[in-house]
Amino acid sequence: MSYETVILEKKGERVAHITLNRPEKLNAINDVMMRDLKAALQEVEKDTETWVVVIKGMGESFSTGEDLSLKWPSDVMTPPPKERWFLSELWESEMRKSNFWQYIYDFPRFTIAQIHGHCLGWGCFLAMVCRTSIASEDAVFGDPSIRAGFTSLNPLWTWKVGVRKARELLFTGKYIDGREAARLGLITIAVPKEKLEEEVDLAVESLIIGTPIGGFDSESFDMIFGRTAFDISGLAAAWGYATNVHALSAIQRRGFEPGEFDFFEARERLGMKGAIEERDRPFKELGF
Amino acid sequence: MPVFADRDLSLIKWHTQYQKNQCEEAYRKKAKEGRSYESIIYEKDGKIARITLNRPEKSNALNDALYFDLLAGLGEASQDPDVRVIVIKGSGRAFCSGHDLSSPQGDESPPIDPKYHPTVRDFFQFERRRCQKYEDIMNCPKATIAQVHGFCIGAGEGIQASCDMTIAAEDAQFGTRGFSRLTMGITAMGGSGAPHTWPGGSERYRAGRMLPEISGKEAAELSLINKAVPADELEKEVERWAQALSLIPPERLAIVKEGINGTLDITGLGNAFRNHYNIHLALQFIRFRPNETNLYKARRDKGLKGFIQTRAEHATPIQDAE
Repeated sequence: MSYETVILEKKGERVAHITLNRPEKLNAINDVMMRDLKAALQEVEKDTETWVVVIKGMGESFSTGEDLSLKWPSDVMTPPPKERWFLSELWESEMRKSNFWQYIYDFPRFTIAQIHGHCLGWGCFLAMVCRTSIASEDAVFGDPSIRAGFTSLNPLWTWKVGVRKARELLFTGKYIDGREAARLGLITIAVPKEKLEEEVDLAVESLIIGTPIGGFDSESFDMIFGRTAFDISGLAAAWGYATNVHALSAIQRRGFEPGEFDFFEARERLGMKGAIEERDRPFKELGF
Repeated sequence: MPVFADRDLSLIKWHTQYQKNQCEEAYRKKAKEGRSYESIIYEKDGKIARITLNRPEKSNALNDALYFDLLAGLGEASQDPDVRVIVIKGSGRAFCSGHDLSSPQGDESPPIDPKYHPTVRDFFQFERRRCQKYEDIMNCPKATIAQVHGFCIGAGEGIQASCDMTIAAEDAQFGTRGFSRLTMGITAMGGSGAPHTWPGGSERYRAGRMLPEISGKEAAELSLINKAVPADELEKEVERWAQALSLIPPERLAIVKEGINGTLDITGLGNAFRNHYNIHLALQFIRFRPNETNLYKARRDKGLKGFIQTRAEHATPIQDAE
């Protein structure tokens, strides 16, 4: 099957590559891409001969996260300050997002994120929900959504990088490079850019060698032991909690204070690129 | 704050309840009078509020008055609609040297001497209030930054751990004194729920090694704190972070903070706090072998200086600060 915003291709017998394919938008995730990515993964799931899935980005970047140029109603963008959801509408939207991330997190084959260029916001989510994430050292990570007044919640932030760094990243919206991301535990490893594909291929190869050992394959082990242990220590509940808190942030009506950066207004006035520059400018001046 | 040095501790329920009332009355009075503080300095500079622990002659050791003032200051900043960021720092040579061990018995700060044979029922209330303070700091709805220089020991570490972020001088010293065997150093609160070392059992929890104390530089390398800078740049660096955080829409920040703290609660942080005071309780009832160092006794017999000296001799392998 072919998709509008992702490319699904089989590489050899055992590996599927899913490439996010909106290079002109630096693979920003919109509603269509959410649907396509899930559909592509479901297609892979049906094919039991595929053991490993590599998720990567076309063009300059892995993904810049939520497509901020979208107009509400959309699952990706929360409503502008003057709009409001119906409760059931909000709830369905929040559950769709939560289920989407949890579906990838619980995907029954081994998933590898191959990250280069920008990996922001939901890009980071995508990196975190894959079993392994391998990035180039110069890749840029971060979640600047709070700078524009959006809320980005995912229990995996706290789970992966610890509370101190989770707060630092989410409160300031700062950017870090691949090397730092690997040090914090946001991703698995960072390698020099030219070695990225080689490293991913190596991981794929070792997984293919390891998988057919009946009953002892890495993927099942990860699923049976690792995931269950995490859920017992609270991760399953934390997904639900994060969904609910995010729902609050999506429906809460907040006026912009005078002089405060209003993303929706800036987007009208300056266009997307200008609005993002304006969003980051005061932080850049302070070295963040 | 009233002092109950000469009261029998069997009355602890009564007089800590009394203290609580006193505290609440002090809150109300301060709210009415535009607040004045004895043990902290409260400054407001636009969107940033600064709370300076101000007992420099005691290296900002926490007695009840200082702790109540700190919480009242946090309360004031939380209620002030202008304030978005709260910086907590210490005056003099240290951030905070922990509980004030010279506090009179019956205060909430120092450990209770087992000789007094308190009842568990009384102590539950007492301990709950004591541990609640860390949770109060943690659940403050605004961004909090601990600016740490010099010593940050014991309960001081608890305070910085409960703040959202910690920026420290490279030569700042984190740790807990008086633990001779398995000392967890900066993670001393971790056994019971230091937010920054969660999840427990990780390398972070043990600070990567078994040392009672580590420097700001090491702490930053382990991501136990957010950043360490040379001591003379500390003020400027914290200002930079505070400025950046003051640009963040406060409502959003409160929601994200709630999300992160809630995730910690799900992983068991709230219960870990309860565990902390249960263990405190258990410690009130231990007895000592003849050849063991009894620091309670040292304090009873030789006073605070004698206590510190005994501790330095027997418990802490590192040269004491005093």
